[in-house]
Amino acid sequence: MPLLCIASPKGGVGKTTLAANLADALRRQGRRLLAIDLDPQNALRLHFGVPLEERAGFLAGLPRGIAWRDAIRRTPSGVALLPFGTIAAAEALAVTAALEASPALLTGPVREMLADPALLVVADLPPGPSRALELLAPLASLVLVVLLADAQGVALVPEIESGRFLGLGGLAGPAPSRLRLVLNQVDQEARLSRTVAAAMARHLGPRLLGALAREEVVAEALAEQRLLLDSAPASQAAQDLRDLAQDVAAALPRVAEPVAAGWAR
Amino acid sequence: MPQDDDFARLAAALGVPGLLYRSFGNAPVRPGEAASPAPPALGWAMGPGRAGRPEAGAGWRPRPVAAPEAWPLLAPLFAPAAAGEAPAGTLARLRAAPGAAERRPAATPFLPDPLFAPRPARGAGLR
Repeated sequence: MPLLCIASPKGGVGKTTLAANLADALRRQGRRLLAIDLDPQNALRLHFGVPLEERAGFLAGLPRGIAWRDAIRRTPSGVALLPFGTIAAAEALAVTAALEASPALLTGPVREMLADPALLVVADLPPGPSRALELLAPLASLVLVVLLADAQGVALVPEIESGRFLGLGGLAGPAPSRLRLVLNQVDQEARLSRTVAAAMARHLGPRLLGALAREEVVAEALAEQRLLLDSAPASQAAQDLRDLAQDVAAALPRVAEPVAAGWAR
Repeated sequence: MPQDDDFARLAAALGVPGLLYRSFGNAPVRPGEAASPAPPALGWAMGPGRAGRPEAGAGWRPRPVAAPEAWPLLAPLFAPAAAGEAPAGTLARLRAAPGAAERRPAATPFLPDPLFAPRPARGAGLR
């Protein structure tokens, strides 16, 4: 039933990598999990071992009225996946226009997914403000915003505090507990990264839900089309990921026990 | 000699088995390095006198060079990580890090004065 949205103010912060591996970590806690790729880069599928040549997806088929259940991919990890689909730029604009004209094309299927009391849905949003984020944030139990521990990350904190951030209302908004931050690619050996991360941890307090170490094994996992907890379970980043999954699970409403083996088991 | 290996590989890659190597007395490119065994596919090019090698001409096809098995240089990348003691979490380390005020040495509360001294104008020392 819970919806977890993974968003970021800018690209290149590791949002999709975090979404894929966090979904896997939550699945390992025994949850039924469905991951939706709402980013036209269509990269979420690569973390789950879906071959490059497989181009079909959910949002790419949205203007044609594709049924979301028909677009679900079973993955070796056990996470059910709705890829975005590989599309050209013009088609991406058509998807945006379709969502603008008929928000129910997305909110309808997502409400159907959330009607399953035993299902946890993880949505990988496009970077920056988006129609998809605008539509799904009100339905989300938790919005995780991924930042880097750098000067740009620091510069975004006042925006997040003030409520102008991504149209989400901000940490001081009406539902601040639904918006949490994650610092990604923290490098303890780099002075800037270490200093910024420590300062943000002090400033944000419990609003910072997690921090993940920068390690080569994370990028290497994608090179193998594997998930981090499979490829480098003893790494610092894997430990951070497990910690984050525990804290996310604690922040989400409890899901019901599945009554029968389903498609996302 | 390493350069002989290099030459044989070049001849095979170009598909010109009749290509000859002539030494002009140049020093080896990799001095002191032991000669590496020739790849099996190049055996004909490396054999003594190249006996039985295919000659360029009618009906001759370049012998295919064996492809590397699977990027052996990348193999260590995909080796399973050694299991060890689980390290402390990054977030926990960040939260345990002392604040900026705590880190500053008590004996040096101020930045050193030379930082704020005016810098000499460019070219001032050339007159």
